[in-house]
Amino acid sequence: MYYIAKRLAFYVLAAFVAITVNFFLPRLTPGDPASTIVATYSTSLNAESLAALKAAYGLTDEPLLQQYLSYLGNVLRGDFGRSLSNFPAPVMAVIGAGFGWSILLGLTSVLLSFVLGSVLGAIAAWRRGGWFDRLTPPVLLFLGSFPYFFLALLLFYVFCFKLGWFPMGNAYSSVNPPALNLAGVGDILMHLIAPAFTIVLVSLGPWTLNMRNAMIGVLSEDYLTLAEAKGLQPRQVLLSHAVRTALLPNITALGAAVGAVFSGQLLTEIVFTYPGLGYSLMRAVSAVDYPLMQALFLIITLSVLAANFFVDTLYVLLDPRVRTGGEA
Amino acid sequence: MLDVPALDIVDLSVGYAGEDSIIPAVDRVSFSIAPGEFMGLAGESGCGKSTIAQSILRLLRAPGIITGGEIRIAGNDMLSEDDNAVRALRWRTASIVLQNSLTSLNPVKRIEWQLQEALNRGTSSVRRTPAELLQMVDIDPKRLRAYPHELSGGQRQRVVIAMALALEPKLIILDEPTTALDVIVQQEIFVTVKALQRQMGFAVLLITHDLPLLFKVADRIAVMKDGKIVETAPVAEFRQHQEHPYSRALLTASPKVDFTTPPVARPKSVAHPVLETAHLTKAYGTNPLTGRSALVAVNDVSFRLAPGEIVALVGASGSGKSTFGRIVTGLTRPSSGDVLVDGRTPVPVSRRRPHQPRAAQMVFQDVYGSLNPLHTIGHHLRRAVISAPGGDKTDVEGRVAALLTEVGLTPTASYLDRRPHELSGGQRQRVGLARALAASPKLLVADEPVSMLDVSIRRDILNLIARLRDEQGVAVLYITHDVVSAGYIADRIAVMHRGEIVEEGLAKAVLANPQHAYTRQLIAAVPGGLGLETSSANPVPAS
Repeated sequence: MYYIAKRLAFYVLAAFVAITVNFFLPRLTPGDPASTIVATYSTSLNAESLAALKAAYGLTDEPLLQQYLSYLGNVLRGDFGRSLSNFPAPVMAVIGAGFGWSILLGLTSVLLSFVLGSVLGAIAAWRRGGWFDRLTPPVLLFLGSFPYFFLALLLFYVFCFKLGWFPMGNAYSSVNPPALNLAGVGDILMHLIAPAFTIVLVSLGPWTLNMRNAMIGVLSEDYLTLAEAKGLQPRQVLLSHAVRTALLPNITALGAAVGAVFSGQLLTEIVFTYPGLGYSLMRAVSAVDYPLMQALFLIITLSVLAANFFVDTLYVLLDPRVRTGGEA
Repeated sequence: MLDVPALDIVDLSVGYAGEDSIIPAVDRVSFSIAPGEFMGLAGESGCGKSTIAQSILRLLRAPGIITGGEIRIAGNDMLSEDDNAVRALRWRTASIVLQNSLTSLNPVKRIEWQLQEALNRGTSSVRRTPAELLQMVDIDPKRLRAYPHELSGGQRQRVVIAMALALEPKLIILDEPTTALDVIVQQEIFVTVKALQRQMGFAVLLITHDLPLLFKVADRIAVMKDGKIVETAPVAEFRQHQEHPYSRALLTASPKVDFTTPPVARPKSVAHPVLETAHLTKAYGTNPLTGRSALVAVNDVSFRLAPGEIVALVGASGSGKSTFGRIVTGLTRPSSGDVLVDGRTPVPVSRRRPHQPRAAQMVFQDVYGSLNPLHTIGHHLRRAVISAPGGDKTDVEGRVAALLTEVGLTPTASYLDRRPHELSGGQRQRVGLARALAASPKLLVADEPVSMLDVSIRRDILNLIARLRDEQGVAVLYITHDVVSAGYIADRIAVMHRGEIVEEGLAKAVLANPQHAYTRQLIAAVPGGLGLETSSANPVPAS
């Protein structure tokens, strides 16, 4: 428990630093966007309108510290101001709409490639030197070394455009999100398959290779020899002894991967016009929607932290050695 | 049934597949073990004894191949049956205990689960519980819920032994089960094994390099060399007379304490000790608020070492002796107290300036890990000579050659371009010594320098250290768990127990007449004793 509390304290501190940097970074760059916009209009608008414009963009002459404190308060309340491209919708509402879809796509693809990669890696290590071991890792690494958008475009062209097996964009067919009945879920799944498959295909290589290497390390341990000497079935040796311990390094990587979901699948979301955060970010950039961008950066950072904390906690459950403080 | 041997090996040959041929490791070995017999298989590393252990249960992995012969465990043919049949026979007919107790158990499963897993292999007629198994090997059944890393090395090895006995096999194979453990723990474990053997009647095949240990526990001894068994004899006979010259060499190779010469008190130049510590303490995990420490590795140690003196620091693992050595060489900083080496406080490597005198040099235990495998011996020594403080740097090659000659690696030119993997363990340790001497230290800190080496070369290295002392006048702090080698080489012995020096004195005086209870325990646990002819032939019977 002490370990978890220590980790939690660390992540709270890291989140605080992220929020602070997120505040100061735009203010350090000369010619911030808000004053640029205000300056553009300064000749054509009267003083009253200009003041209103400044207030809307949060341009005040208050001391920096004061601004910082009110910013902290707003962040804690979840108030990121209003989106410029979707004016007057609050930033949080825009993000909220994309957040769920990003989570769905991200978790599906990361968990799928984690599970698939670990299984493939375990099999490759178990049959080390066999045809499966010699074929699988290079092929997957070859696929993974393609530029992400290129593979996505290729798959999009073949499966969505030419063959028409999957829909060409969005996360659902109708204008509004469908009801959560059988047809609705099926519709969402149909839209999910193509982008998720792309991500899985590209990210499978490292998972497989890491699992394979970890397994090979574990397989040479004495307790594996002993498990075999005990006359256990190969399946038992593999599952309850080898895989269980070999998974640990991959679980650490899982934290980073889950955290990178929002930033990493940006290109996939753009290619497949999937309405997640990545797609929102692209639109925010092209529409010079600074409040939305800033909030998105913060959300991405915080989700990386949250995912890592989750994995740290999971690790405590899976590896008894870290529970005592990791001296073993 | 009584006539069927527990293990019968006939003409067993095992090889390792090389690039285009099979390199033989075991060459037509035959022996058998009667039910309930305690058989010892002795030999040095690389002689093929562990390969035999793996072959018996058909656990040999590629590139190992059994090329011929027969293996029968209690009448069951292990080589002609198919994989499934062999799997069914494993652990029920014979089980195995491996050397490394830390990695023998799955680190992420509770020991209860691991014991139960072995029990589940059994038939329903005899069913013990994990708790009963633990009680059998004298571990509190409350520890069932523990994970392997929460147990000590000795306890872990007991758990593995309990596991090995779970299905009451006819034979258990012990492959160097106590090599990584202290003598006291080793003695306790064999007391338990012998008691269980009397009770349950299983046969034992103990594989070890330690002949004195076999004298204490085994009924019969087989000596192996280069894949062949050179001699097999009952222990009583073997003790009196060794048929094969190699057996004799192996037996006389282990250092013995010579009590015939009276201890000579070296004149101590008390004015300038080469090493002096005062109230030295090293604590780990100290809570900044309460000031309480999780572990005090070195506790208030005041110690002196005169120039040209060899002092052995003896203690069990975890006694703090290695931490003390690291403080002396500046690798670790003490929590409190003073340490002076040749009148100066040792400087950590990271803060050391070039040409700053280095009074203490370290010789490491791990002869495999302490030399970078990518560099040649010449490179290692040249680097040491060049970075050594002071001295003439014009003739680096000459100095390297001189160092190699000093440690007995001649002709020196043939060693310069070799890499560590081309040398034997003993030769590597000689390189380690040469490297340490490059800086012309006043003090050598040798942390278990021979414990990873084969018995037959241990004495050579110890003799070399003693000779370097005689010729160069370098003082030696010899850190070891081995009382016998300490008595063999050291002028004085300091016994360390739980971070404190509990006894200190002239080596032979301490060994012949130990004052502290822990020292007595340590000496009593040495298999075969110290070579004292005064006591009875078998001073501490384990059976």
